[in-house]
Amino acid sequence: MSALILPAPSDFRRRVISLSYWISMPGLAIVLMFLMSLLQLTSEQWSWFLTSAAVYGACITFPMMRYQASLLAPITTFLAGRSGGRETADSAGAEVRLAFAAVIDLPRRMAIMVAAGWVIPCVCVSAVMAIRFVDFGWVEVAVITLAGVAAGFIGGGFLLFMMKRTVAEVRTALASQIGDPDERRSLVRPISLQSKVVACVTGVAVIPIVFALALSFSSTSQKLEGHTLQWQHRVLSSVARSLEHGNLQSAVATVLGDRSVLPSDVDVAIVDLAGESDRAGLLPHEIENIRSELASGLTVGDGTVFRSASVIAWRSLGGEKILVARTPRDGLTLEAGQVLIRFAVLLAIATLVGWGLARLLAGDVVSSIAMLSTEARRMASGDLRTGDPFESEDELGELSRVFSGTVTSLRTTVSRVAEAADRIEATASETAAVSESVAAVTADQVSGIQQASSSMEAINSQVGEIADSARALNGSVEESSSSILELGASGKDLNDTAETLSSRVEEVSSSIEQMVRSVQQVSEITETLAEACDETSSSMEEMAGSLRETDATAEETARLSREVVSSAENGQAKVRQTIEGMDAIRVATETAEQVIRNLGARTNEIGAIVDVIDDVADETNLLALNAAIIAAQAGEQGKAFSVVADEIKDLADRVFTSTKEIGSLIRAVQDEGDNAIGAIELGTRSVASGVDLSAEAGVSLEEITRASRESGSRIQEIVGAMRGQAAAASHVVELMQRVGSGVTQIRRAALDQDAGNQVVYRSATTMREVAHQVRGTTEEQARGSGRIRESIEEVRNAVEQINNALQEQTAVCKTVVEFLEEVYARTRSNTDSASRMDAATKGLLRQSTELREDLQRFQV
Amino acid sequence: MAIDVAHVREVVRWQTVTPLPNAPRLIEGVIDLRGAVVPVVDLSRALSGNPVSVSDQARIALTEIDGLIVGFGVDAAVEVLQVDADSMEDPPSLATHAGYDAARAVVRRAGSEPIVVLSLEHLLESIYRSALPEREVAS
Repeated sequence: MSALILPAPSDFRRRVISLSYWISMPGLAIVLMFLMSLLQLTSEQWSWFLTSAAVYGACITFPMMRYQASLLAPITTFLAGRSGGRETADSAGAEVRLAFAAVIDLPRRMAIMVAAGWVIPCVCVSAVMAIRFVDFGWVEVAVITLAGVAAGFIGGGFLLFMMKRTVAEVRTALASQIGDPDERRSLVRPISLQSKVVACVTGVAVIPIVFALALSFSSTSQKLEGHTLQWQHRVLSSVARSLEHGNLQSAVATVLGDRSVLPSDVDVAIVDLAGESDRAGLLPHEIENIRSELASGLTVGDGTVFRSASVIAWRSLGGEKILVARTPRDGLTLEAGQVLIRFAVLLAIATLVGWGLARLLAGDVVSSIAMLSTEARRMASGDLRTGDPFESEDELGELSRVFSGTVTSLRTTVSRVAEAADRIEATASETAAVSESVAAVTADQVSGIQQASSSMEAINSQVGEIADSARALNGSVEESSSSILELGASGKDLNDTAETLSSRVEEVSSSIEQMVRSVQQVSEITETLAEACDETSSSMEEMAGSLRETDATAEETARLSREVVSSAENGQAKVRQTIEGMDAIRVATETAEQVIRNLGARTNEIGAIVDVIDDVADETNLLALNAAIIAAQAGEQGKAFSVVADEIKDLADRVFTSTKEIGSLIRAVQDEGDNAIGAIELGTRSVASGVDLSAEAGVSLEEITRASRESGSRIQEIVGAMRGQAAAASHVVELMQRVGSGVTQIRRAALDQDAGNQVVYRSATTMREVAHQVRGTTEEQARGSGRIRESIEEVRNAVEQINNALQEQTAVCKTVVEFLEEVYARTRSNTDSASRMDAATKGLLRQSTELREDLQRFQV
Repeated sequence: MAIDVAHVREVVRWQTVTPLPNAPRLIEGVIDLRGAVVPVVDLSRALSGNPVSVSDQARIALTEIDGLIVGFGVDAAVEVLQVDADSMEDPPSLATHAGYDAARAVVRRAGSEPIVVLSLEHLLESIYRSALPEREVAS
């Protein structure tokens, strides 16, 4: 796939790792430079520093190597697979994608690793030193941390770009294996150009300034301290000389005079190092250091050797007693602190300027590239129109101009291709039309030739039959000729053989007659054929007529089915009306039933009332009876009362009778009501069954409608089919007419043949007459036998001529047929060529259409 | 049939008769009539052997005979008839000669069938007699 020569996996790994180690060299140099120039470390501190750094390095090396290996693993796997020569479908695709993502991200990850590999140990080591040494202040911690940051930045930055160059070929190879740019885009973790430029420029601006600042601060402090120490030594020697004349106070006053004019405050004191008290603010480690120096024989010294907290100078006064001058560092760094603030402001300004310029530069580049990217994307989407021109004075401007030129030439090319495609399409359309018409014409030609060929074959066979007859005739003539020759040769037997000759001639004549008859029969058969043709034609016409009739009938049937449909629809409407009517009846009967039931309830109530009346009447009757008894027992006095009681009794009886009548009436009413309810229920059931039946009828009607519609559509189909059949029939009629014309031609030919045969027949008649004459006048015959023979010869010649003519005719027919067959074959090949051309033209047309569709993507 | 109205105290509707155990055969049982316990004799059964057909028309006629109160159960109490003395005839001699004494008189009516007036004393006798054989059996 790619012509690139890729490194072996081990080679690649070695290159990457060695680069990361080589990059550490400038970092190491920077850290050492910072430490040596800015810090004055004691040998113990140096040994601690290096030990802690070594311990850290030992701890971190193995995890870092593991991390590097994990970063490189997908790429080396890919390289190993490639050198192993296996490149298989999906697993290889996934492997390539993994390797591509790893190789794209490799510089960034390695840079971060190197930067962290400097910053973290510096912070850790400075923390260890600050914990271990009291006099290891914030300045030292800051210096070591800054050194780590600077080394990390420089190492990381260089590694980022150099690693990119190192892995460039592998990256290109991987990218070429992933064809889709969108897929590549999804795998790339973007780092903007702007951020890279800004980081580089800002770092480059800030690091030297920080370094310069720290260096100047440090050198200023050292110089101030040196001056102070010089001055302190001078003070101490003067004080030591004055001590011989008096005490310390007076000596100090003598030497220093007015303290207010001094550049900085100074304390002078006598310290007994052996004693426990009065140490004049000296710290224990300072006393220890001074004692060890005294023991080594020094008489004068200062605090720079052991990094004293204050600026200290001392002078031995013999034994363990020393004279000490001490100045606090605060007084000295005042000046340096102001310098520090100025440098900080300078650093801030420099950083701002560097950052701003970097941003502008990056913005310039990024906007140019974004513009070009937009243009390229537009072009990729097929838009080739001239966009907004991008101009710049640098290489990007040149790139933009070249790009515009490319677009212009591409646009021209695409326009030309589009025009060409248009022309191709037009030409192809024309060619297709022409080839189609050629195909149609050749098809017509083929059918015509086929018909002509078959007619010729028929004629040829007819001619062949006639020729056969002629050959038979010729044979007969030959026979007769030989007989006559015999006659001529044996003149003596002439009389004897004259009879025979006559009979032979008769036979010949009858043969000729037979031949003539057979020709006539041919003619008759042809007539019959023509008649049959006519009959077929007429019967086909009849058939066409009957088809038309059937068509009309079918139309009628269709109309009838439509009527059936409409009738059925009417019927459905009627059924719906019936159902509605039935519903109304049902509602009415239900109402009636309800009314009758109500009536029954009322009559029951009446019956109850009547029963009450009945009871009352009964009671009254009883009372009247008892009254009558009492009245009877009362005798004459109760007579009137007896009458009243009788009356009451009568009334009660009448009431009783009436209530009985009412009761029977009520029962009659109730019976009638029950009958009515029964009748109504019967009616309701009938109505319900009527509704059901109507619904069924509706369903049936719907089915009828559907079936009728279906049958209507079927009839339509039948009508269509019949029309097709009628068309076919008329085509058959047409063909039969053509056959009839062919038959007519044959008949004509046969008539011609007949005419020829008539000549033969006449000759034969003449011959017969001659034979009769021969029989009648034997002697004349003997004389005229030569003449007869000549006549016979003539006849035979004539027959042979006929035969030859027929053979010639047959040959001509065959030639014609062959010629027609050849023409047919040519035409067939023409047809084939035309269809091939048609297919090719259609293919061309399709391709040109596809080309046009492709081209329509471009906007020119 | 008829009974003398002089003996009749009241006619009431038929009511359920509580049977009286071991009573004389014709005593049907007792009823409670406005606080008085009255024995009831089924007159129909006493005369024809068929019990009273209990209907709306069935009645109990309370009568007083020789100071005894007896309720006679009847099919119906129709009316109180006032008859002339001369229309009352003795029962036919043919019957009385044979010892018949159940009827006291026969009342003729114009245009209607005659009515027999029952002898209540005879009825009491019948009741008493109906108890006799059972007593003999009991002793």
